[in-house]
This record gives sequence, structure tokens and C-alpha cells, in this order.
Amino acid sequence: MAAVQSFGTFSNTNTIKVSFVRSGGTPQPYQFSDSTSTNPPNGILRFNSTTFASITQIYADDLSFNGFNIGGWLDKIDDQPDVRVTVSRFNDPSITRVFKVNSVVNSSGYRTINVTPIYASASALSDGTPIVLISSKADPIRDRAGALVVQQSLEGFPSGSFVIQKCTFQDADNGLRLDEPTPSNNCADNTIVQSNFSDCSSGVKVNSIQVVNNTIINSDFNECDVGIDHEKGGDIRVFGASMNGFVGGVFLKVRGGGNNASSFVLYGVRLEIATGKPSLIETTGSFEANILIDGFSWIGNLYPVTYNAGTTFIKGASTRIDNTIYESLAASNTGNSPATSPDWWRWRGDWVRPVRLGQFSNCTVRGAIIKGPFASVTGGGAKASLRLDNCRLNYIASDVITVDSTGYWKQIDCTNVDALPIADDGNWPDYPSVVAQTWNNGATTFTAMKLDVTDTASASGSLLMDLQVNADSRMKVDKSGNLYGQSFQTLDQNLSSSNPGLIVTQTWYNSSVVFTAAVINALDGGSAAGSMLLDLQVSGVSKVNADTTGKLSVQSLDVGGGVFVVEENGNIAMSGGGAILDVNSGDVVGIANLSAANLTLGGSVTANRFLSSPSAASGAPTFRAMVTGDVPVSVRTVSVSRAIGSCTAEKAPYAFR
Amino acid sequence: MPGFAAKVTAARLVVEVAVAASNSNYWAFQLKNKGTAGTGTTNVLDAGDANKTKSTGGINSGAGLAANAVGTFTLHGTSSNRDVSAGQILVFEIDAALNPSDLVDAVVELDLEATA
Repeated sequence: MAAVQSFGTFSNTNTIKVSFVRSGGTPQPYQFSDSTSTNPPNGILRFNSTTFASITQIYADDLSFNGFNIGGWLDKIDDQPDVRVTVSRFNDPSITRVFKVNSVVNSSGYRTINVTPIYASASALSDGTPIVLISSKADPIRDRAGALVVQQSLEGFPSGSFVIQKCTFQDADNGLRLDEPTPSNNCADNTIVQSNFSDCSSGVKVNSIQVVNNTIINSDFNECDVGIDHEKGGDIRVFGASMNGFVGGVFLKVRGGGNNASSFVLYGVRLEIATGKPSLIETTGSFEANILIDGFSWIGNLYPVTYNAGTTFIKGASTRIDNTIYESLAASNTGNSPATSPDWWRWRGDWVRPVRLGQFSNCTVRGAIIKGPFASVTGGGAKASLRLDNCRLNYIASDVITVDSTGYWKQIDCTNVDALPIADDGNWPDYPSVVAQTWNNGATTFTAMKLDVTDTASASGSLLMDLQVNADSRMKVDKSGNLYGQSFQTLDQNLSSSNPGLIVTQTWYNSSVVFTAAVINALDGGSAAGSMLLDLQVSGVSKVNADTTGKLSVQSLDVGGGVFVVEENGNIAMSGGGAILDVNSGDVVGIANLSAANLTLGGSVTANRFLSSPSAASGAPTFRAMVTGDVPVSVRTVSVSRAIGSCTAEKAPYAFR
Repeated sequence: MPGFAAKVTAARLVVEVAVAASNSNYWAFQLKNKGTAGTGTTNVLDAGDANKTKSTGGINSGAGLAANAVGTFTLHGTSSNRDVSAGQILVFEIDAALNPSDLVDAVVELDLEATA
């Protein structure tokens, strides 16, 4: 062993560590020089630029820092494709620079390693720092023979036709870069299987127009700002993926295409992002993008109602201010503004539309669950289109899909569970709550529920609505607007003097039309005696009724302010002095007794008139004997005179019979 | 009296010579229903001073009896007292207190209204 160089001094009782490094392997020790000149001295390693992003060459002396000639080892670095070198500080590996190796050139006494910079830690690599040079097979890629090279990597650069399986890409700006201009295969036809992309700005970066036919299967994207950043290139197919994290972004961002048509297939993509702005796809490129999304779903709250200071929220309840979502942290949470009350509310991120389509986008979404404002379809003159096919609409409102003047969208065979479920086996016991709406603008005329049938042909019995219990209709509305129901009852709490139980208001607008305000037409195919056409009751007691013969029974009749009373015993009483019963030349019949102060027999009388009681049997008049009461008092009074002559007091008393 | 049931509706007295009213010397008049057996005692006329020639509360408002003028008796206040059945006997009774002037050629008139 020979001494090479010293740094500082050892003191008594210092603990020292001795590392043994194999000659000709990795890592190799060097001392870093911040010079950018070629041909470094013995044991020195330099970059050709002080700016990391501009580094294209590394100059490594053939002698390592410990004096061994490692030129042969350096020459072998590029014997395999997709190799990288790492330059790290010897006693602090966190200070590191990572490069992709393109080639190694013997430059007489030193080697020139042609590189592409990949990663640099924030801390500077200062002049004179002891470093190590590490060579590794960088790509987490299996070759065609299936040999696993590396399981975890910062970034990967597959050239093409690789199966990248069970690999993890972590803490990278771009985890898997499908943008290398490798001449042989142009990063095409790769299959990424069961891989994981964590804490990357973008999990997969596509940035070459030649990148086509790459497929991702059953992979996870955790805490990535963008899952797949498609800046250029052709096709991407995803079969099963999830994007997880606390604050997430866009799963697929399509920013451009290329000469190859860009088609994207997303099967079974799942977002599990608690907060932030999770969304599935955003297209902004100026190339055509055909997109099929099948079975997309996400975990998270339904789109909550707007915050109302008067509402008491339970712990865990959600609300929103505009599209910022908040979660209640306490029970009985009332009047605490979410934006300014962090002790009461937790920020849960912003609601963004999971599908945002820009120009030239043609997208079909199948089998998704729509939980809130879902998509925007824009693009100006380069029309974008969206089609929802067999989706489940948990949220349907005017803003569920927004389009610009040229955008187009259509829904086909979707199930709108926010309105009327086609079938419900009791799986949604809280279903009534999902039809709740908030009407919060006095200038807006709202419509809570609307059914608009385009009737080009239908049978006469077609119904707009049929409410049933046990397959038995209880209320239905036919297509003409006729309402059929079992009974009608008003809600007591809504009744008032200004809000009676039943109002039928009509506007008769045409003097040539014969209108009928109301018709009750009982088709009497058999009915018991006592059947009623109408029965108006108070507390179960009939006050006005009409039987099937048309007989109207009333308690009293208020005519023109007077009262015409038909009492329960049949007596008729008329209020007001001088009330007149005028039958207008008709007959008054059935009078058993007629009591009149004056009885005037008008008209031309040619014979005596008899007041008589006709015999019920023959109709012949019968007469009764005159009674005293029939004779006027003046007639039946007789005066009797008796002359009693003269009387004197002496002879009194007298008695005369 | 009558052969039918009747009610006495009025009774009058006419005398040819006036009888002055006096609270001490006066005539008292009564019409009694004696019944069919002649034993009844029902007063048909009021039994008070109204049917007496007293100057206080007497007949003709205490004016006594004028000559050839009708003096109207006051009927009994009870309606049934004035009812007369067929065959019942009505007796006109005249009594004197002290020494009133003579009743000269007196005539009694009775109005009967048939009731059956």
C-alpha cells in the first residue's frame, strides 16, 4: 500500500474507516477539477462546461486518484448500450452528477467520455473535491431475453422494443424518457409492465415524433405532477394504471403529435388523489389526437354544494367555495369560513374537470363515473369533440360539460342516477339526497327536473311518467298531459289563506273557442246507490254533493249576497226581507201546505179556482168539511141582545139567563 | 145558551137613562158561566171596578153610564174563562152598592165567536 494524498490530520482516539476499492472496477476515485480544459493531470476528472446542462464531455485521466491506470475499464463503459456514469463526492454521495454515456474515446493519457447530462444535485461540486466515478447500466430495462438489468433507477432511456417490467422510476424530472433519437428503433414498441413512477415531474416523457406504439400495462404513478407528458410522438396505450398521491396533477397531458397520427387508449385508469387538481387528460397540441378512455374512475368526494354560512357541517363533510374543496375538521361546524378558518376546515384542493380537450381532440369516454363538472371541450376553429358512452352520471347539471362555440359533445346510453335511476335494487338508500339542488340566484329561473320527449311516433297509451308500487300504477301522466292518480292531498304546512289547497287556473284566449273549465266524466258501468259525482266535505261531513242522477245537495246557497238555505230536513229558508221566489212562468208543485200573507191568482180566470188536495189514487179532487177556522172571525161572530128592563137598587141583585 | 162552542169576545150594556158614577153608590155587573147544570161560577167578565159604575176605575173610564150609549164591559183576563161550550148557561148578574140611580130599560149585548 502506498500513500497517495492526505487531507487534514488524525488525532488520538479518532475513528477512521478504511475502504478497499478494487482496481479496474466501479467506483473509481478521482479528484474533481472545475477546469474545463482537456487532458487533465493524474487522478483528475473534469467536465467540459461549468454549466451542468451544457456538459457533453467528461475528461478522466487514465490514472485514478489512487494511481491505478483504469483506461481499459473506462473504454469498456460504452460496450453496452444505455449505460450511465455518476460522479459523486467521495464523502457525501448526495452531491452528485449523473450522465448518460454516449461513447468513450481514448484521448492519449485520458479518456473523453461523451455524455448527456441527466441529473445534478443542488449542491455545487467544488474544485479539489475527492470524487468517485461510477459506471452503471442505467436503464431499468429487461432485454429481449428477459434479463433484468436494474430494478430501480432515476431515469430510463429505452431505445425501443423493450419490455420494461417491474421497474421503479423515482425523483426524476422525467422518469422514463421516450425521446431518444436512437437511430435503430426510435423508442418505439416498448412495453412498460408493472412499473412504478414516483415523485417525478412526469412519469413518462414522450418527446419525439418517431415515438410510436408504446404500451403501459398495470403501472402506478405516485405523486407525479404529470403521469404521461406527451409532447411529441405517436401512440400511447395504457391498460390498467393508477395515479396516486396527496397532491396530483394530470395523468395524460397531450401537448403535441407529429407526422404519425396520435392515438391514445386509456383502459381502466384510476385516480386516487386526495387533494390538488387531479385530472385524467388535457390536450393542447396542434395535432390530431384520437382518444379512447374506457372505464375511467376516481376516488374522492362527490362535487359538494357551495358553502353556506348557515349550514351546520358534521366532521368530514365537504363543501366548496367556487371550485376549492374543503373538509370539515369538527362536528357542529357552523359559520366558520373555510377560506379563513384552518382550525375548522382542511383544504382539499381544487376541483378541476378531469377531461379537458383542446384543439383537434376527438375523445370518447366509456363507462366513466361522472361526479361533478366533468369536461371542457374547446379548441376554437379546430373543433374538439367528446362523446360519453355508457357512463354513469352521478352529477348532471348545465356545467357538467362545457363547450365553446365550436365544441361538440354527446352522451349515449348513459345512466343518470342523479335524476331517475333505471333500476335500483336498494343499493342507493341515500338516493333522494342526490336530487337535492341549491337555487341561489334570484335572477335565475331554475328547472329542477325536466323530461323532454321527442315524439315522432308512439302509441296513444304512451306515458311520460308511470309511478308504480308492486307493478301497480299509482300515478301516471300520458303524453297528452293527462294526469292519473289514486287521490290528491295537499300538504297541510303549505296551506294558508293565500295558498288554498287546490287551484285550477285557466286562460281562455279565443272568443271563437268553446272552453270547458272542468269535466268529471264517470263512466258508469255499474255503481252502488249513493255513488257520488262530487262530494265536498268538512271534517268528513258532506256539505255539497252531487249524485249520479245529477241531484245537487247543498247545506245552503248564497245567491247574490242573500242566503238560500236548504236545511237538512228539506226546509227552505231565504234570508232578507222581501225575498222573492220567482220560478219564471214555471210550476211550483208538491206543496202540501201553502202559507201566504197574500195569494194573488193572476192571469185570465174563466172559472172558479179551487184549492184542493188531490187524491193520490185517482187524482180527483176531494173536499173536506168547512171548519170554523175557515170562516172569517167577523162572519162567525154572533151578537146576542137581551133586554133586561129596568132595575132599582132596592131590588138588587138581579140575574138574567 | 148557544148550540155551539164559542168564545165571548165582547159584552156591552145600553141604558135609556144615564147613571152617574159614584164610588159609594154604584152598580156592579158580572157575566157568569153556570155550566150545563147551572151550578158553575166562572166569571166571564173582569170582577174588578172596571165593570162597576164607580167613578174610580169604573166602566167607561169612570164616567158612569150615559143614556142610550154603549157601555163596554171588560172581559175576564183569562181566555178560558171566556170559552163557552154548547149548552152551557150564561147568567148576567147585576148587584147594587147602597143606592145608585135606577137602570132604565137596560139591554145587554153579547158577542160570541164560534170556535167549532
